Amino acid sequence: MPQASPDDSVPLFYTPAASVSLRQPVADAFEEWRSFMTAGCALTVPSTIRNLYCYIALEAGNITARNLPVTVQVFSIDMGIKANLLRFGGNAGVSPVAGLSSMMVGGSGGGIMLSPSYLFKEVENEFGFFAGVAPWYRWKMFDAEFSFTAVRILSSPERFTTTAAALRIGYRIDR
Amino acid sequence: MRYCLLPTILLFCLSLPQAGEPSGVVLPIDGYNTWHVGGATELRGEHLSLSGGAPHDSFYTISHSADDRLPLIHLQGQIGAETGDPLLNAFTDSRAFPNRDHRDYIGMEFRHPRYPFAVAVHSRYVDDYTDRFDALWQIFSDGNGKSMLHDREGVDDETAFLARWKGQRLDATVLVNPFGRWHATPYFFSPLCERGITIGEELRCTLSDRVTLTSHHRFIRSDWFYDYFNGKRFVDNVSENSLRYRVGADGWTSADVNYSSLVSPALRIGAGGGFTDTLFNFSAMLYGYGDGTVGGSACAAVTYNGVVRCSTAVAREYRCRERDYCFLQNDTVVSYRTAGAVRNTMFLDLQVQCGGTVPVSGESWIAYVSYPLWEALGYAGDTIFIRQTTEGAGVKSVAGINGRVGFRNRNVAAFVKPGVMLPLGSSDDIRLTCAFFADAEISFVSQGKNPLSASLTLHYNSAPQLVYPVTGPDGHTSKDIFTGDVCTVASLSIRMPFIFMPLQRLVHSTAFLLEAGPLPLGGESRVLIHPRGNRFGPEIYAGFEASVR
Repeated sequence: MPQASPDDSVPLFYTPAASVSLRQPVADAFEEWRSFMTAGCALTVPSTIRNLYCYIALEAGNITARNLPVTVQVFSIDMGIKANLLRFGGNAGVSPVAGLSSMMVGGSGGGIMLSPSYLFKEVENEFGFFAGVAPWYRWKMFDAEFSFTAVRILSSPERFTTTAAALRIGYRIDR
Repeated sequence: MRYCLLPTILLFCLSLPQAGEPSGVVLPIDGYNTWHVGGATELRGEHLSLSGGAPHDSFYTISHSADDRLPLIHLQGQIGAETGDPLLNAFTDSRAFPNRDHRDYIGMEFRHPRYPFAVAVHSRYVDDYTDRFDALWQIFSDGNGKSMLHDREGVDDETAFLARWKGQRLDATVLVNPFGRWHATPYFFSPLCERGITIGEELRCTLSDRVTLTSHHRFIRSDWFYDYFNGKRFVDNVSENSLRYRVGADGWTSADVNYSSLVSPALRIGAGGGFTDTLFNFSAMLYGYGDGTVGGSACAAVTYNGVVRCSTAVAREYRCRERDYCFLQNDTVVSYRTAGAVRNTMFLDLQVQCGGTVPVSGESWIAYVSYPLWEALGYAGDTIFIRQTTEGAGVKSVAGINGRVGFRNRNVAAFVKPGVMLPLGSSDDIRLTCAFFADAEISFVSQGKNPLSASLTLHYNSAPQLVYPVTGPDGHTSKDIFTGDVCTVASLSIRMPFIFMPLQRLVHSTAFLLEAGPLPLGGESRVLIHPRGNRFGPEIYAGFEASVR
């Protein structure tokens, strides 16, 4: 038996997408780090609850210090939920998004995800949270989503806070 | 119950055990090592009460057994990291120590579609809550110009390969487990490396309608790095065998033969019997140890109308002597001398439960546990001696009450589970005191094969205290007392199911997993749970699981 939605009248779809984000460090992080781009892929899948979707976005990029000649590889995993609550017709809407963000930077022993024995052994990794809104528009089977979120990584002694504007373009595959 | 727990923070799972499980305390020292006190049954191969891993560690088992109803493939991957550590400071001056405070787990289990056979691979890397170890490793490296061997490989770094056949008459599991671990030394709680491999088997064989054979064997080859650089090799065998004969409809007798080269006396022979009925069950075992010491245990339970259940257990166990050893504490040789002793435990429990839409249950218990051994510190020239002794040992009686109130219908189940444990009295010299525990869990589970579930747990304990008698070089005796923190923490666990449509017809269930905590409520952002351990703060553990039918 395949997995089933609690309400079969709700359209089920999944959306693989390409994703690009512009991230702007704010607060203390603004003093040390320049804005940076990350790019990668994302996948939206339905949950077992009506109008609630799960998504995961994997993006990588480089971040450069303002006052030091340092560029660091960054790998970001955003794992969250998206609620399709506000719809304007059938092809547009605004979804609140929230979830868990994991930000990794290359450790001293190697590059990101290049550790020979363990996937995350040689990277520094901190978790945090994100929340925001994601206006979306659907044209035929293509979805375009503009996501505006605030990301707060719970690092210490300084929290690493950024705003992120992401563009995700995906192909929507219905059941 | 193999390792009974008192309500204590068990941070490996970032979940709190329910209050009311009696007769022991588990305090985490770092991300891997835990401190066990007063368990009803002895932990083998430990250095007094220090042990690695969680008491109920599913890492070494095929949780997805060879059962026809279960999916063909089960995948799980999780990564966790402490929050509040530096993120982007690896390239700035503020970096003090390498930040590797994280852990990850990858597991896969596969069941054969036609035969009752399953294989599994579990791999984990644990290096969270090691700030204290990190500091000691760094100090050693700075002072000696070279690092301790394997000091960058996590406190636990291991893989388990498992295979299981679960037929009607034969249930056999084989385990191959290469491992590398950092333990904590007695008293100093400094890092001590062990690396090796365990090869084991578990066998349950029905020889006839009445006769069942259970057999567990473990072969352990390990290198202990007592001087930081050179491994001292030990090869050990542990064997536990039981032959059970069914008598009549409800009765049974059994004969046990256990052997462990980790302890002395290595041999234990036991015999016993009992019967199991819907209203009343009873069992008793008598043990003889290789040195002539006798021990035994008995337990009984009465159930009335399926609503009230009263059970009791008593045990007299011989805590076998472990291996002596020496280790280096910086440049000082520390000699550790072990001893054996008898431990007595008693336990009485009363449970009341009502089912229906609003299920309610309550349990109260009282336990008496003796602590026959403790460690005393002494000096002889340049050498420090730590010896296990009955001096400072004592007894402790604790009582607890816990309840469970909930709501259940065909869609959801929600429960609130409060519990309290408090001491009734103890000797003054007890080695580790934990005066008071209180827990509460609020949980929600939707029904179905791929449920949404969430639970919030709250935990409180008073400050644990660790006491050592110390005889100084001048012969003067004093006590070293170490105190942990009063601990009020919250933990959260969520399982968020989703539908993975690309493989919808193949996939049985898929879910994101999130565990967060322990979050100290008020005061410091990190708390010292074990008086000599690391400070614990919020950690987030996130991952996924998927089952393919």
